[in-house]
Amino acid sequence: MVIFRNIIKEIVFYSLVFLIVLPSISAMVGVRPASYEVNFEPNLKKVFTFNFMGDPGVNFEIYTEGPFSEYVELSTTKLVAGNSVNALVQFPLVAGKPGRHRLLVGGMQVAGDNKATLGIVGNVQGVIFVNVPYPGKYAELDFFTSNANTGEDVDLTLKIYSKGEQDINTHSKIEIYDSEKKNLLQTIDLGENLVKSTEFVELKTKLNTSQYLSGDYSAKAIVIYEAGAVQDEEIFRLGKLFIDISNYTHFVERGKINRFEIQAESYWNDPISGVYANVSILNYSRLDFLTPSMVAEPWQKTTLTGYFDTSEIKQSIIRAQITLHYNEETTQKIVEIEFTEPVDYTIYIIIGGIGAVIIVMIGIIVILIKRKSSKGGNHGKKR
Amino acid sequence: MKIDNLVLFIASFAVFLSALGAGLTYYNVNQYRENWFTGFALQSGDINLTVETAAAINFTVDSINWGSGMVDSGQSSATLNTCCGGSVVNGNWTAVSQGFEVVNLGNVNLTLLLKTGKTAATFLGGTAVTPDYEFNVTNKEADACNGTDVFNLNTFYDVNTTGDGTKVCDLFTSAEGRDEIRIDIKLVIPSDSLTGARSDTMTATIAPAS
Repeated sequence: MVIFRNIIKEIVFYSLVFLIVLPSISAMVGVRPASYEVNFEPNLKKVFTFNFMGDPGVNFEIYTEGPFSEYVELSTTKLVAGNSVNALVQFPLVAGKPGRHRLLVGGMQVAGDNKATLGIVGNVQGVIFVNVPYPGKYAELDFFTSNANTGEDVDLTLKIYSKGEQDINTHSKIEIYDSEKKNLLQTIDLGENLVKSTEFVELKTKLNTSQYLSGDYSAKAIVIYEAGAVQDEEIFRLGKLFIDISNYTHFVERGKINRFEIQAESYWNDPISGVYANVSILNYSRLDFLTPSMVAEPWQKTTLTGYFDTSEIKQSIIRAQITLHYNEETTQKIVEIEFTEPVDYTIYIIIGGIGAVIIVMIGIIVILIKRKSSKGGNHGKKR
Repeated sequence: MKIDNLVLFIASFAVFLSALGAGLTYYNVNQYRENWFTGFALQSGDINLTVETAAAINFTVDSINWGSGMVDSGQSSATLNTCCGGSVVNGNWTAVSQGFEVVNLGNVNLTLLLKTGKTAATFLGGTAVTPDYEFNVTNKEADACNGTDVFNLNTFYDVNTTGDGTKVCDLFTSAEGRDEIRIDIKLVIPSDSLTGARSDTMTATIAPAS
């Protein structure tokens, strides 16, 4: 009977736990693909399929919104998660405003029976990007550069888009400046191109950096065409095999094993493996320690960690020599480390202990006095 | 003695199998004697694949429930807040410390807008003090959401019931380790508020950032 009662109790308990946890059960909603890209063409008829995802049983109400939404015919306006909707777009003869437009195909999650005070649902929107050509000739560009190490080639990529109604003839060049963008160091001529309306041309070249020092540089792409010029700028970095000690633990505590961190910043464009630090505490050679080795990622900061015991040290400031080892190179730095004086709790413990003893003593004396007085009273009654 | 015989038999069988294997290998190799390179076709091939984009979010916490309660006697209002450990001031509702939590599950950066079905007046009502129904967006994972020019993270704003609501993230990233935000709710309930079960639904609208 007792076992049966315990089982019932357990069932009730776990049911309650389940009910408490239930509101936190996650819910997913989404759409794939997230977007399509289409160039406007008069009377173009095209179907775009969107699959709306969600937890089993999630219902969506499908709608369209934004520019050109009046030219969209949906295959359904309601669907259950996991199903697709076809959006048939039939563009008009005239587009109207040129540029890149966001035509939305959305799925509004239908809220279930909400027992909670507040609930949240998803409204997921897939996008059809509609590129409407500009009147006449119109160019836009994307420009990408890569980082490299000194002496290696830097990749320069230029994409010229003709977003006008007419084809364009371009003349492109890339100018390389120093980091302050004051001194022009080199010009790379990329020649002439014909870019047809709504299409693009990709130009790739490499910058020989054998005459360049390490550091940051600015690359400016300039495209001249019949209606004017467009330009874009990118910064690229040339690396050198150097890891800097950019930070370290400045304060340690006395009389304990301390964690000591060294921040190593790589100026090299490739990962450097086997980076470690040797820390020598000056005048306390027995306390020297090594950190485990790490991989320094390109242009990133990496933290190296070691431990040392400060029990022997009496000074308030010590000096340490940090030596980073990597690829048969080293970086050294002499740093100062200060002691933070930890709060000495001993005195508080002693005072607290004495206080506690006094209270106990007073308590005992009070009890003894009470007993004595009560014994005295009893004698009186007997008499 | 019997064991010795058995071992001898197994050993002999193994030798026989080895010889048979060697013979078969010789036979096969001999067949390709004139064609020294076998299985070495020189052809070029293309590898094609498409990685589909997906815009998706997951509500890891999708409900907030303070249960039943009332404003303390003698107080003009009570304040319920899911932020910062959760609190209920001047009321006997159960404090809730969990706001809504949203993760960008997809592989594209998103824009995020928040809208509610009700305003403070229609959700809570009352006149003893002005009712308040506010929300606050914070990054649960650093740099998940960058706010907008007019919407700051870590700040409470009145809810919005119009259009798709208030744009709270120009960029809600899909990068692993920085793709989760939290939405906290604060209510100021007047002592003469609407009574009975009160509920509302917030809508999170997502679309790929261009």
